[in-house]
Amino acid sequence: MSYTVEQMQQASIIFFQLLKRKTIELKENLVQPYLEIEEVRDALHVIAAEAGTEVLQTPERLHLLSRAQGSIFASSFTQMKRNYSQLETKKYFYTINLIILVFLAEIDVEDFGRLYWENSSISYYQLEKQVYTVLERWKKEQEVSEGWFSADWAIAVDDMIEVWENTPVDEEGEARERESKLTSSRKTHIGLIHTAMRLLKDENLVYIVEEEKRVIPRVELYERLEGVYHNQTRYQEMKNLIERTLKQGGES
Amino acid sequence: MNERLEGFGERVKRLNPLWLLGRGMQLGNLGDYAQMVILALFLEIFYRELDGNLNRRRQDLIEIVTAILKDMQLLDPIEQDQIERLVDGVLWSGSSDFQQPFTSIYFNEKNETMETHAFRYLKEDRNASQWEKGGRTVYQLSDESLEILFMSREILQELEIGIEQLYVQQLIKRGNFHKAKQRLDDLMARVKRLIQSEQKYQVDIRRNPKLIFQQGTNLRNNREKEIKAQFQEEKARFDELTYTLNRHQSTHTEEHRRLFEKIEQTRQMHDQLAKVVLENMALELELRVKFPHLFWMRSRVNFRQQIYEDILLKKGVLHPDLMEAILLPLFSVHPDFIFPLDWAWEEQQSENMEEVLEEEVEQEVIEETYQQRIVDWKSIVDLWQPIIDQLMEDGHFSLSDLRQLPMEEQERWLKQKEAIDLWILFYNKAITITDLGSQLNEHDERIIMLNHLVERDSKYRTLEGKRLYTVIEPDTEMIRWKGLVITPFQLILEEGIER
Repeated sequence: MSYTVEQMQQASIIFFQLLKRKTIELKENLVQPYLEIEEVRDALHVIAAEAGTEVLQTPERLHLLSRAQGSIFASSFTQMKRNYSQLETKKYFYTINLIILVFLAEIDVEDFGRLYWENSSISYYQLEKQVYTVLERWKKEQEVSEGWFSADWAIAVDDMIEVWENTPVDEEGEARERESKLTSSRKTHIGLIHTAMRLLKDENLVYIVEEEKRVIPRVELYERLEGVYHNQTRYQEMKNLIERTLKQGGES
Repeated sequence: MNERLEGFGERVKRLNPLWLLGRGMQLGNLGDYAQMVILALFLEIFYRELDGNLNRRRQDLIEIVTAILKDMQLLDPIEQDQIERLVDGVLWSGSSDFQQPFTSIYFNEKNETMETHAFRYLKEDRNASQWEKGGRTVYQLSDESLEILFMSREILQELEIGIEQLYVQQLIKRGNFHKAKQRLDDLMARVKRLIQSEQKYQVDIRRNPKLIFQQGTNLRNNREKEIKAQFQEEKARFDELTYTLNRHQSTHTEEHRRLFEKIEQTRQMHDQLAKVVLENMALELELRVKFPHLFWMRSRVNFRQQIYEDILLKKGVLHPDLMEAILLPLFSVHPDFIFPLDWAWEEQQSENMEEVLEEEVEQEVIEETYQQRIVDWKSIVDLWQPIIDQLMEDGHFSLSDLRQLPMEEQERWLKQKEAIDLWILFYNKAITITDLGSQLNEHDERIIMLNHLVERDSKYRTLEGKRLYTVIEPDTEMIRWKGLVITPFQLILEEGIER
């Protein structure tokens, strides 16, 4: 496929605007060439791919998202990761990752239950309980059959269990009685959950009602869930990525 | 199937919320009156919804119950936390921490099995809650609790607008204006619900046109004629109501006037409903034409099943860092610039070298700076505080403003290498200020400095959520102090990006 200079230009404009603004509504003028001209769409996808990103189109907007393998650009996620670059703090990072995964599973409801997806808000304590359930399950698996998990994963699971068991659920006594503002911290389960949820909030994917310790998914989150995980092709890609044998340990 | 059981499932589903009302709550001496109080609570919320009164948050509910107890002469021995438990017991089943809905069982006579049915009495009023502004949840009656209210007034299960209108007409003829008004209130509430549900439907099908077909194929286009005719009929009936009312009394009493207004209100609301329904029918048609492909794509992959349950829960991934691979595509990217540290150091050092040869005094100062191992945060924060103050006021601060700093001041800066380093650190990377006061960012000196400021004065907490970045002031000379040459940095403070 060959592109005219004008088409390249139109694709580039969209790319750089997406880079700046992260999401753009489909009804904006600059998006029209993307919707109307196939070459512009292709060019944009090529540019995005080169940068290790993916352009996601949803019924209402375009998103520019990182690829599973990573991108040459940073994201809120990678920035958050930098806070846990020391070896001793990695376990907190993994725990936060786990919290997000549990959260996503909780809110990902079936297709035609989708009419009622708006009702799926989730409380911090509910999340806490779910994380506990998962960790308990893994703990049992490990006890029953050694070598059930891969070596690296087993260590990480142990670390996460250690974090969970050695921190209290919430602040003690008075601090909890007051409907105080939630804080991100490593010292309590609720604190860790808040760190995870804050990340999603900063990404404009959820609302947090702090006084009620409740998280409410936004439509942008469902759009991304649909585009990233409900898509057969992308699922296959991701599956291959996470299941292939990883020879390099540590940072990927 | 026993033919007496026809429709049994639906009957039980309607009654279960009533049976479960107020049960299972630990309320002590309040227990005997719980159901009555809750009924009164529902009524209050019902009328607040009609009035557009948004005071239906949890705290408001507590106040309402308190007022009810007072009216019923029950308030005296009752404690505050009993009232709170009552309210929480209406909002959620079980502990309020888990925010679970109520569940009940019913016998489905068609499948001849016992099935469960989940419901709530009060649910979130999304439009009123304003979560994006950090507001608290505003509640409204669910269909189940509304049903309880209707049930208790012997209103027909199938509330057809036409029948309601006839009833009202009867009441007006008999001069029973009070009851007529009440029925119109109910009718309006019902119509309002229908409007809300139509609006929600519109939003839903815009986002997900597939839903048009999944709706139990109640394709409304087929019934378009029917529906239009029905609306016409109902509109005509409203006219009749007004006519009947006017015929009734030649003298216009206050009640008469209020009833007239109520009819008008109801009529307008009904018009709104008609409009929205017809809009939606047109929209359905439009979407089916625009997005034919959406109607046959069915993805059989989702996060919960394929990734979470099949992989993570079972055997996990090969390496914990792979969790990142699953999560990363959820996030958008942004450009990240890292200013080479060498460039900044280069500028500082070349001048330093020259100065060393010149004056002894300066040499001392520089050596002192160089040897300093213990970080003197107090002095650093002293130096930075006025800068942050101005930054908060003006939204920006230029280092070049310090160009003509008196000698003693310059020396204070030179004594604190870290204070100068902070300029470089701020330039290296923009920062969105989060988690002020927490231990999370203990190796980011910029946050440490800001935390010290917050400790001194809580006004600095307003920096939370803001974004701080640094540019180099164009067309401006390097700032030259004795013993230091530094780039004319400019700090800029802006609101965090919110969408």
